[in-house]
Amino acid sequence: MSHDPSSPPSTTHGGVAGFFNEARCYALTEWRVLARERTAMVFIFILPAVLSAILGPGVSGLNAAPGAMGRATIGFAVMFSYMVVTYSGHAFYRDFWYHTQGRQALLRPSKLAFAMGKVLPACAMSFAQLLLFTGFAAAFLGLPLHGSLPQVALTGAVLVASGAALGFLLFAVTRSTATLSNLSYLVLVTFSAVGGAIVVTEALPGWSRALGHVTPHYWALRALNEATFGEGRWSVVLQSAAVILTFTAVCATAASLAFDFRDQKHDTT
Amino acid sequence: MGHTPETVFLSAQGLSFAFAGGAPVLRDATLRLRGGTCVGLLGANGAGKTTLLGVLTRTLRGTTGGALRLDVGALPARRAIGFATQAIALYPVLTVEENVGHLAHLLLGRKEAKAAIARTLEEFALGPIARTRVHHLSGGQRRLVHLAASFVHAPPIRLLDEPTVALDFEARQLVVRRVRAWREEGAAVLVTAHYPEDIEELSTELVLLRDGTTRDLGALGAVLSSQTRTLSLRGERPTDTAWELALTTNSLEEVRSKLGELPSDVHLSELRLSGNRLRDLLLRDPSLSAFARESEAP
Repeated sequence: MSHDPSSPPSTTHGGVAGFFNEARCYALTEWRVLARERTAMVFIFILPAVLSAILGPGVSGLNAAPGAMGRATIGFAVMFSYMVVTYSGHAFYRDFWYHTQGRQALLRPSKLAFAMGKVLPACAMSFAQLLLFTGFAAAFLGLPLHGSLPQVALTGAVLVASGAALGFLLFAVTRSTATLSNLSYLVLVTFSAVGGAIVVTEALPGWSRALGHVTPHYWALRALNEATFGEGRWSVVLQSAAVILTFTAVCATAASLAFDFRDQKHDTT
Repeated sequence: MGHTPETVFLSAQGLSFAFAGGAPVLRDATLRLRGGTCVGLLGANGAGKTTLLGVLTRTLRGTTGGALRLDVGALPARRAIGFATQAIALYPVLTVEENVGHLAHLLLGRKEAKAAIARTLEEFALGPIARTRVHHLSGGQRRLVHLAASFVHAPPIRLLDEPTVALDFEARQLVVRRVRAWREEGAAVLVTAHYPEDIEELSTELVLLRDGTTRDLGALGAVLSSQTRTLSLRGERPTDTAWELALTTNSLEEVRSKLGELPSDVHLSELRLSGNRLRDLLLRDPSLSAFARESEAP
């Protein structure tokens, strides 16, 4: 095959098709890695299931109201769905672990397509976990569903999107995997604690409840409570989703501004 | 079309580079890559060879001054340049085929990508291990997969940073054949290597990088012909005293004259009869190794 660079490329993607092709390629590679490494499965699915079984009765109280165990299960699901922060951050750091970052810097794909492709598999896992746990709690743990499944799905989608955006931001502003991992675990625990994912908001001290309002967890649980124990009002769900989306937009914008394909990071794996 | 095999695909003029807060690594670096040629980049460790490749591919921040120009027609820069970094860039849990396919699917249409993957796997003799995950491969095999994955989209400009590291003889020969084939196909190739022997085998032109500055040495053949042959003779007299004669010349007359300087009891034609033992007779052709040693000496 001879090289005649003056002839135009034959079948390369461009425009919208190119954007989606880039996102698809990165997502496919990331999905293969996540599925084969399996740790994401453990942290997103198995760990919350085990903790719900062990701690659920304690969190919901021994003489809990009907559906309280289901409520505790949803809390653990929300908490561990935020592992999407860690796995989104790792998806970006992966290029530094495997020295493929130079290739991304050379290719310079669309930042949005690149980021979307990188975080999509972890988002899909977390979203599936939220739906699965909610379904399980509704079917077997007496969790009522006074609202609708689309309300649960919308809440789950915006929650994992906020986690992915936060993961992207943490990647953009850190220089090592260790720093990202430490920060994301800190986020996981504190957001879950003050947001009411571990213990219901009503049982938290006043200052903690006030702090909870700045976490996506608080708003996600508010929407999920409305869809399950509440009256299923869309206004409450949409308001909560809007707050979470604002958080997502702020994180994504800041990450996009801070991120540069030519950034150098410390490889600490 | 306007492009001959000698068309300059990439030209860098007066580039300087420094890492943030650090001393300059490159000063006024100038380089041209022409189609159908392979430039061997010589330089000691730390001379800035890898940095220069990073600057040429625009994957590093910190370039100041100068101009970097691509003349690759309608091809976008991302498709025009392929870069095999010194560090192996592969996803270990993905198979060989998936790693090679990742870049192909990013840059090429579906059908074109499929054909490019098949062709590349064949060119690098990776067919038998196409479905093997990379973490199961040896270091040498990974290097070959890395090269295959870096150039699957057949870019006209190909940069290779230490491509022969960890390769056994057979794999190294495969890389040499591939680089020569790319040259014959009209690609512009730039290669760095730890060993001058590798550069000598791969390159048609030489550039020396020293103290962050490039020096165009011209065609490899011209550089080698400027070097002299070396004849070394070492032996022992019957009395067990050693003698040695080293000649560095291309002139036969000079050789004859020098042979006259041998000890009086040593005559090449009567070595055996006179009891002298010839330990070594070494005729060394001009090589890049000697040139590199001289060039890199402080």
